[in-house]
Amino acid sequence: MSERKPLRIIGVGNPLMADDGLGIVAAERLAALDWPPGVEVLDGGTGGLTLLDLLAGARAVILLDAVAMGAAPGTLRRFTAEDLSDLPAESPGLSLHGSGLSEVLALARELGSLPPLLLFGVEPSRVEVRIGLSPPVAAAMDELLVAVLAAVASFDQ
Amino acid sequence: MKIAVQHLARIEGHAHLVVDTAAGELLECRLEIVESPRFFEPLLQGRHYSDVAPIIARICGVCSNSHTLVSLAASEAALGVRISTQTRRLRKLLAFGEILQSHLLQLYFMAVPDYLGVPSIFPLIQRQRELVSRALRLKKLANDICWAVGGRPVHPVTPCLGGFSALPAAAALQDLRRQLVAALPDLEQTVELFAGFEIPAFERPTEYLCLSGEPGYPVFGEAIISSDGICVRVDEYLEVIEEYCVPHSTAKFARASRDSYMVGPLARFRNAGKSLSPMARKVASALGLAANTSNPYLGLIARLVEVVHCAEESIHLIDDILLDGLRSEPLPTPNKGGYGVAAIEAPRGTLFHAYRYDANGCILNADCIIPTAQNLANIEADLRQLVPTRMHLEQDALTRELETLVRAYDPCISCSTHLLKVDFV
Repeated sequence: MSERKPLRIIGVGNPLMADDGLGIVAAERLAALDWPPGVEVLDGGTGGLTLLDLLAGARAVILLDAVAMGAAPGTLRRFTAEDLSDLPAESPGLSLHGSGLSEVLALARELGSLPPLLLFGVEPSRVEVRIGLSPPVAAAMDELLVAVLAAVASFDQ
Repeated sequence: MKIAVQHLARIEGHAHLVVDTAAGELLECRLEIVESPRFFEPLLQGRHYSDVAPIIARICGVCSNSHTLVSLAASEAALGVRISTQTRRLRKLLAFGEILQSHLLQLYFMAVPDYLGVPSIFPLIQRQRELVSRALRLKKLANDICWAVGGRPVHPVTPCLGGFSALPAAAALQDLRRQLVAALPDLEQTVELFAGFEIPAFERPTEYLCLSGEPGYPVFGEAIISSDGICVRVDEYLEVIEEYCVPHSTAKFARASRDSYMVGPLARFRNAGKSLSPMARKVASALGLAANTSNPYLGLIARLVEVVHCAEESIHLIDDILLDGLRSEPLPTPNKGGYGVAAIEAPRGTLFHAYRYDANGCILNADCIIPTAQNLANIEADLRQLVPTRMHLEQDALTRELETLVRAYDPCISCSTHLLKVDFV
């Protein structure tokens, strides 16, 4: 059996807050696929610092989250760890659900435990108490899943 | 002198602290809760009992296990479901895992910077690497307990009505036990660290409230007790606890026998300290935590004592579970309605859920009372008494001391604003 650390795909967000839960919806769909050994799909929810353990134990991480970028709802964008390093902690622009994602990344970076990382962000349309994605964000899910599959392949090359 | 701390740091969620004094008199003192309230109860309306706990598990990332466990217990009380000893033990282990997660985060990441005079944990990563590594090791162990028992580090998936949809493997529990034993030196170091902190002197007796009715230090319990003599069944909670609104807060305040009361580690320690594990009792005594203390700053030390208690008790719980052997149990599918109330000692204090189900097992209405909402009036009362005794301090020093007091309660604003009482009818 391989001792290799897993590549982790982690959806974050809150599915009770409509599009804020898009990372969780995506992770659910990804978890249903057949993955080779060494790839894990996890639901990070709004666990804040708990994410640090999930990062530390991985050889690479792909995060899926709602990101307010001022783009059209459903717009998909890929961020590298470097893109994210400029964001101040608790930047209101990054994550909408207050799980402190930017603080966790900053802490992991400072500890030297930040693995190679990609964040796929989708622009939300509505973030309010409601279960289910808005039409533009639901329509972006396929594009997101394809992008994640390609990224997994690129990490393992 | 006017102190206005916008977005008080190192607490869960957003709150402002406003203090105004003139000529040695306190004019104003408020903890303003400014998060917009989120009404999650409507999401529960009409939901079948099998869907309720998974929704509740998402309300908050900090106490998702406590919310899930008390939600299941309230549904079970409403629908007449009894649970096995195995289920009770696994749920208790999960509750201990979450108390450890939450307490360790507060102690190391939120409180330690106050007492070491740094703005956050970040400067300590270089300067006190071993302290930070120890914090992360302990936090990981707590996450691992929740992951093994609840199926996820947060937002548990395995606990369900009447039991568990999947049981942890015996090997996973044995591994947790090994990790818990191996963590004891880290806990000793933690106690030594906190023993060196100078806790501000301040006394303000209040009413201390927690659960009772099960043997041992409270986690679950059938009764509510308080130091002012409250002793009622959990389903009579509305007769002793009154929630009310104040203009400066989107979270409700609460009172019981007097203007304010305290829930959480110090309240539990005051009411049930004798039932702590042997190691926890020793730590309490070594840290000078007296059974009759009324210093709210010592909530911090009570939290540490509870960490030791949960670690030690988790080892015994795992032994009991493994000794009896894990067996899968049939899950009930009740076919009726009813009303049920349950409460749990969440990391921050007593958490109540009450549900009414229709005859098809679907939610008619729900009510929740959250620990932080119960503590808010007490925190303000502390601040009002504290400020006049600290007028000699410079503004910065006073601000720090006030912030440290608020943090001693480990308020979690997110959840307090999430759950206001709503009747759907």
